Amino acid sequence: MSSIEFVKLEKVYKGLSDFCAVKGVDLQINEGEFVVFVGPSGCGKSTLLRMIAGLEDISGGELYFGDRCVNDLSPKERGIGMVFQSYALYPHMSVFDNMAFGLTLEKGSRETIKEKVEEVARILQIDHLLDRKPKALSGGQRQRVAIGRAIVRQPNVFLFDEPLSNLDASLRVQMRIEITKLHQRLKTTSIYVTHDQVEAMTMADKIVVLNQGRIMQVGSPLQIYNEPANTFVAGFMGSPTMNFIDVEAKDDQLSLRNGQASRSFPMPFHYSGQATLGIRPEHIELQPQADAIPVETRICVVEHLGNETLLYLTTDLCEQPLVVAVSGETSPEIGSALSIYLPLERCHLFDARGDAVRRQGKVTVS
Amino acid sequence: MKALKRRTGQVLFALAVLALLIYTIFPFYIAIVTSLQGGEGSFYLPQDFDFGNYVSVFREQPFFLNILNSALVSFGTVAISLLIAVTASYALARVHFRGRTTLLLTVLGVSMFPQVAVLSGMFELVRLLGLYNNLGSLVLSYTVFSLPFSVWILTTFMRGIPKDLEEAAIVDGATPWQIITRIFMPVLWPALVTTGLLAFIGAWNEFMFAITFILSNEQRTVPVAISMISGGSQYEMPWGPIMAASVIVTVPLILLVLVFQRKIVEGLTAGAVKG
Ligand SMILES: Nc1ncnc2c1ncn2[C@@H]1O[C@H](COP(=O)(O)OP(=O)(O)OP(=O)(O)O)[C@@H](O)[C@H]1O
Ligand SMILES: [Mg+2]
Repeated sequence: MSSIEFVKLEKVYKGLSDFCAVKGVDLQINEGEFVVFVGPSGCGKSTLLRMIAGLEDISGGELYFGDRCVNDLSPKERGIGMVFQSYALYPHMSVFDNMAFGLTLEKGSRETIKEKVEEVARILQIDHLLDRKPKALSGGQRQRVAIGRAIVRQPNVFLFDEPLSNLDASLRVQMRIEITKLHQRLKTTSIYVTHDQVEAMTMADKIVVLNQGRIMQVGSPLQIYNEPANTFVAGFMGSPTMNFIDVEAKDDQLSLRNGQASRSFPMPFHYSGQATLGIRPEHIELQPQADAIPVETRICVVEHLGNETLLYLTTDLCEQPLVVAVSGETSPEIGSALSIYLPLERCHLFDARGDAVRRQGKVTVS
Repeated sequence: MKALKRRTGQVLFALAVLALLIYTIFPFYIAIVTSLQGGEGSFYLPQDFDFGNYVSVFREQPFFLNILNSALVSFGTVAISLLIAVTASYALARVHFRGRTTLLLTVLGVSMFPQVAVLSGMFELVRLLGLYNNLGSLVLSYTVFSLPFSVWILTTFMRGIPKDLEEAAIVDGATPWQIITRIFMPVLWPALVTTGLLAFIGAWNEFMFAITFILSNEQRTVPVAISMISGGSQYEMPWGPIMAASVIVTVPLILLVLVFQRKIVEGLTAGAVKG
């Protein structure tokens, strides 16, 4: 087990035109932590993970495991275990041999190998499958074998690259819980790549949000949800996504582009200039509130999800319809008018560059 | 009406299959029948069963030695070209280096030269290496000719192996050599058998190099030995012994294919990496 530190890590893919996939990433991962990298497709999650694994050369910066620089070490010397999206089980070997492969290369004695493999197989509940070939396993079972192969060598660090994305929804939930339980049991430092934000929120001790090769924010799941550092994180995490409204802030007053007339509200932020107001769909209220911005809207689309209903509302505040999540029982009529209230408590303000503006003390709407 | 139509369809199909069968099997049929006749010339219908030709093949020349030579040369060629082809195709398929595509195209280009074109150059090479009238000269030249093809096929197959599989092995601590022998070769087993078999057949049947580089009867391979079988007089072809010899040397090939055919099927069904 070990902590990991990235210092200005960079990755440039050489080619006809060089492509910088990871741009100066600094990050500290503590011993035993479960860290999730999330980000949109192509943001460099896999590249970063593979650099940690040693499968991809590091173009710049340093990577430390504990206080040892591992830039030039092979994956084996780094002591990592990796689970691939495609499972990558050796097709010609039985489950037992798949899991034992790394150990046999280390030339361990037969008995200890057998003992270790069987113990891991028991933990993962695949001990009855040890004689089968990967071909004869279901997706979930293959995934377990892949995980078993990674943990049987007792690596310092576990790396997962979207391990659940080939599974169906219910199995994914089940495996997610099992991986979390496994981590609680083994307490090995783990890095998990996904683009599924539910996985990120539920599994992580620490979430790292990446975009275009840069870290956008690092924090606990609730920090990321409650205090997104910029519009990218705010819009990426949370489903349905946060509503953004262009506003003008001046002297702690917020003016909305509200038809011809603009109305001002005092705000809990200290900022002047062009800004973006963000509010999550689940935080918008339908009942009149103190300290809230009232908005007149018209319902244009209704989506029933069962547990909740999503209303898409046209307003004159912004081009995009606002999304509001309400309880599943309501059945509003398309085209009808609706008054909504945006509690200032729950609003986020982002400056012209998209960075979050820090919140001040409580303010009351007069 | 419909039933009749289907019936005619079936009959026509059966006829077509029969025609194809006769077309492909006929030469072999003639060879076998001729080899079993006592007299001269070739025959369409078996008249008697006489193994005299088979005995004479072995009595009149060191045919057993010739078979041994052929086997030695063919297995040697297969072993060496597979070893080189597997390692070369690993590099061509998996290692990024400058000029990779050019190299691959050159490999293919080389295989397009007719044998005659390289004959004199090869002869110089063989003399230089002191391999003249030595089976080594044949292994060398057959390897040269089977390599491009083997490399090309294996490279294509190796590209088809998911990269994850190789990386999983790297993470497990395997060296490139271990990756090739423990992961790639078992996965590529069907392709290896196919290319190996083709290299074997090529070497087993090769004539031109064999007659050019080998002088003595004891070093000859089978195709040359067969061509040297002479009849009662200068003007007649000893078809009986020739056919008997041909049948004798074809049997090992057929056995080889039959043995490996099962392996090929096994290899194909063992696969399935994902999904
Ligand atoms: N071998 C390569 N050569 C050049 N560019 C590459 C190479 N591999 C990846 N890239 C580029 O690097 C960027 C990051 O790729 P990466 O695979 O890390 O994305 P990702 O975040 O894992 O995306 P996904 O969620 O789709 O897996 C992409 O824009 C990709 O085009
Ligand atoms: Mg990826």
